[in-house]
Amino acid sequence: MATKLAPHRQATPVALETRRVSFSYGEFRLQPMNFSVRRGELLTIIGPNASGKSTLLKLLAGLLTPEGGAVLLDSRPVGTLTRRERARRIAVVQQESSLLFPIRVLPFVLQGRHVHMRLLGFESARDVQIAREALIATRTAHLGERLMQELSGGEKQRVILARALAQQPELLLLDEPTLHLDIGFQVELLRLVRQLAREQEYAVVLVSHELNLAAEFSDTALLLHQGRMLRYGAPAEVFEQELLEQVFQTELDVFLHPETGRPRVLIRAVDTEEGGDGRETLES
Amino acid sequence: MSAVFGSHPRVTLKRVLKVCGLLAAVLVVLGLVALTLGAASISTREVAAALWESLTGSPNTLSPEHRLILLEIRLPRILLAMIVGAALAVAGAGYQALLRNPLADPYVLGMSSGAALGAILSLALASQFVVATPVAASVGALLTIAAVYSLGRSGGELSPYTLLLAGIMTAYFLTAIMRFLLNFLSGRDLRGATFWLMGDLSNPAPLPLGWLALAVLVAVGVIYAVAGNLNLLLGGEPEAEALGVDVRRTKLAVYLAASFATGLAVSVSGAIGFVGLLVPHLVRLLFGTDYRLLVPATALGGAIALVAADTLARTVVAPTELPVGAVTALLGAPLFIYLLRRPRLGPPVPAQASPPEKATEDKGK
Repeated sequence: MATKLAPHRQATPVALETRRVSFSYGEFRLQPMNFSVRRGELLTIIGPNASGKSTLLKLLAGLLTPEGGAVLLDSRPVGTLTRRERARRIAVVQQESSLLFPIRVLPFVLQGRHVHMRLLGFESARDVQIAREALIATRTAHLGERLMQELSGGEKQRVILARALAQQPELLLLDEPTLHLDIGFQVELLRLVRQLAREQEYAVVLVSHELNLAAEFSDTALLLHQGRMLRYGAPAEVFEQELLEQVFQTELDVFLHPETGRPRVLIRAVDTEEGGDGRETLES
Repeated sequence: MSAVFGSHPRVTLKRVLKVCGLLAAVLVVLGLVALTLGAASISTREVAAALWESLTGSPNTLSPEHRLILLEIRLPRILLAMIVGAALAVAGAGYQALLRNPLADPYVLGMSSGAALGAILSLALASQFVVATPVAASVGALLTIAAVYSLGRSGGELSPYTLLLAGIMTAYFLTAIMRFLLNFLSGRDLRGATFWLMGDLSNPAPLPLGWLALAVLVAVGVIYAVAGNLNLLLGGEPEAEALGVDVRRTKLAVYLAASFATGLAVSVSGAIGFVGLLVPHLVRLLFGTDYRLLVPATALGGAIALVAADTLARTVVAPTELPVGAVTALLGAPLFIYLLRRPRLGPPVPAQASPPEKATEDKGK
């Protein structure tokens, strides 16, 4: 069952690559940057609010056109893909808009098959099979007959992920998938995403505000600040105390977890009088 | 009601054919019943004889007077009600997806008023061209929705409530202009204000019914062609875009087709309200929210609803008549208020209660 979801893979290990990709709107400018993601690898983009994370993700998704440079998927500029090719190879999990009408979980996941169908198409038995496998892969098979509107936050995120998997993409992009989830669901979702990346060889890029989750589950991390890529590499290289303190403008403790060896970030207790410019926590 | 929402099977071609076959049968039966009803009492046997005669051409004992009533008055009116009902209902379903607003309806949002104004202008300026009226009405609807759409945006976002208010005020404004025009041009035959404001199916259509049906079929077909895209659009435009939908083209198609359908309907029957609101929501309750089933089922349901409403309009106070728009508003306005008062501007979403939690897990593995 697990193998069926995986699309045909190309030989090159690097799935996604940017070449001096840049973008601007109004005053904001995303500076040219180079990075790459291999198959089975998970890259997390971190950075303060308005640092350009979601914009960068949209560029990777081909939903925005770069001002300069290019985003390459298997050495091919994403901009040259047709709309259908793009949706077959790149799946995006976004911060969800509300649904206008009630819809059940299985038909919702089947929307991921839309791009594989003809105009006016109805799902084939194979489409339903793929959707069911995506539900199993995200451990939501028991929810198939429920309405999306009655799911809990964690269930809903996994179903949205299932819809993305039903697209059978090579590249999986997630914009703050753990938003509004409690810590248990956050860990569960990211563990699931990493496991899928490994088993199905998806290249995964995710945007997250959860620094500790990013440090624990990513193969590489990318720190954005005011549209500039400040650092890019293994989490241990990116999670440097002074750098993070500067970027997030709050006092932090960064250390390596004694067991996993991965960085951890703690908020240092701050007196109200010495609280920098008033920002005391990472969240805002 | 929540149980109804939870229990619709997945949409397949077979299910679409089944549901549409059922609705088509209901429509035919209703049409036949409507033929027998009216101010003049005509027996079922005579109706059958008249239909048989018109199909085979063999003469029979029917009185000329009854033949005239059945074939020249009732039958065209019933067919007109079917065509107009289908057009308005599908336009409503289209606008609801396009504007992401369950309360969208050509009448409520002013598109019908825009179409009526266009039709009146064309009658005043170019009454010798029969085709000019539906075209001008479509353009009127098109311009109105463009205006309402841009007025309904606040800060780049389409706000459901601002949209509704913008639509209702636009409707008032256009109606006022219409009243002025009708006053100034009172010497001409522009049909009455009641016709345009409330809708009326008693005038024979100025266009051949076959043409009108074909034009409405084209509009419905265009919306049906993007039905799959509309399903995805209900979940938000960025999501639909990412799932491979050409959002711009889909919206443009619905925008044009729904406005064309509205224009056609209004040009022959005036502004009949709430069909576009009432019918799609009833169809959703009965058959679910998937547009691949909703569009054809709404077309047939709209035809059924308007034949029923018009039959009521011409029989309840016979020998006089009510405007058909009064009947649809009597049912539609309370539904609008009911929908408005639901949380999040939408149809009922059941609470955590009793989903059918049967053995759905991993079957066939």
